[in-house]
Amino acid sequence: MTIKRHPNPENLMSCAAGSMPEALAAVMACHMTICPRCRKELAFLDSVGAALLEDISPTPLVMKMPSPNVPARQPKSIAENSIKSDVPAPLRKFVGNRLADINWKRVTPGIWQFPIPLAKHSNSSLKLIKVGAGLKLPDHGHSGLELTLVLQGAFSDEFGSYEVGDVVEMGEDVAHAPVAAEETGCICLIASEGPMRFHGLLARIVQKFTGF
Amino acid sequence: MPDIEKLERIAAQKDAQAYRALFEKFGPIVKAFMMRQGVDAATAEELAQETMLSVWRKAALYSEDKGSVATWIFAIARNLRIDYLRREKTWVELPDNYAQEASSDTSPDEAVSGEQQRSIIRRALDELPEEQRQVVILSFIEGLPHREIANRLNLPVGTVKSRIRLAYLKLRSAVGEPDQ
Ligand SMILES: [Zn+2]
Repeated sequence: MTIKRHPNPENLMSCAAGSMPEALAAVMACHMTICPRCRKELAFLDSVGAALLEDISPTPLVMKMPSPNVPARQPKSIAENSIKSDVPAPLRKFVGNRLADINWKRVTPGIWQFPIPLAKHSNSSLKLIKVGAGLKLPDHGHSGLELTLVLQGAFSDEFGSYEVGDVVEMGEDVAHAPVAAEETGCICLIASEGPMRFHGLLARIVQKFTGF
Repeated sequence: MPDIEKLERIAAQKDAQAYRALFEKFGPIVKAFMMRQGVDAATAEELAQETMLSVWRKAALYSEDKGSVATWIFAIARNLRIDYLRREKTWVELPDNYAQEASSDTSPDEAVSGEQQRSIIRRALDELPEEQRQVVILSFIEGLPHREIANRLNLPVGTVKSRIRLAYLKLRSAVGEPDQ
């Protein structure tokens, strides 16, 4: 698998800084598990974080000696990371090991979603969305940054086409009309900045489909 | 004794002296870091102790090709902060999760030592234009999302992002171009 679209540098940086709204950080984390290039970028940015720490003036801290009996953490086993699964590891505890087994909720004919709960004040929302083969979503804008990671199949819009592993960034000033791939449809993980934003999008989609 | 050797001693024989040395070097900085993130002194103290305790417990998991000891400690502190302060799940795991593929990740010709890389990055940071350094510090040290940096500086979010992007490109080219 060759990933063609990686997150932008400013998002890699806020990911390393730990200063990203939670949903966006989740998409970044899932991309990292399948993208060696971005893992390397993240490691580099961690070293930028470490260098910045050197400029902080220290605050006195009294040492507590840990008990020698504190057990060492065992590395996560390789087996655990290589479970046969088409779900990125960070998502498995929410959705299980197989995209096909997700308890999808139908939004409208051809569109299903599965919301992933986040901390209440995360100020962002995270969802899986499944779109049927060849289905076209209505043209829509975004009210904050939206990060989409393709997990299965592919989709395209007026800016390009996106395959498994690709991260698509949509800024608030961008509108697009995505179309799921003819043969496969597509499953994506979508993070939206600001609470309930994606909800708004789905509501608008449903509106267009149902005429409400 | 280099930090890495101290860590090895902690891993191998729970060396209290090596731990004390690492604690004195990093503990007070981590506590100050936590306070810069907007935490009260008591919580910052707790998080700093927790960070150093993780260093003690996970010493054997550290691998040098994932960056310097300072980088590793930064990542531990960052993740603890996300866990405790925002009560969020830490989505981005520590580099030790990827230890098994470390060797395929780094090709030999770019294997700069942690110490070399540290001084290259330091110099590159010092050379950043002030407006770029400022946003990088607000992101890493104050832990602010782009939107809040924009509010704080009274700038459009797009400007914050482009400053961060420019800073990234300068820092990145200082250590070598990224792979495509
Ligand atoms: Zn990538």
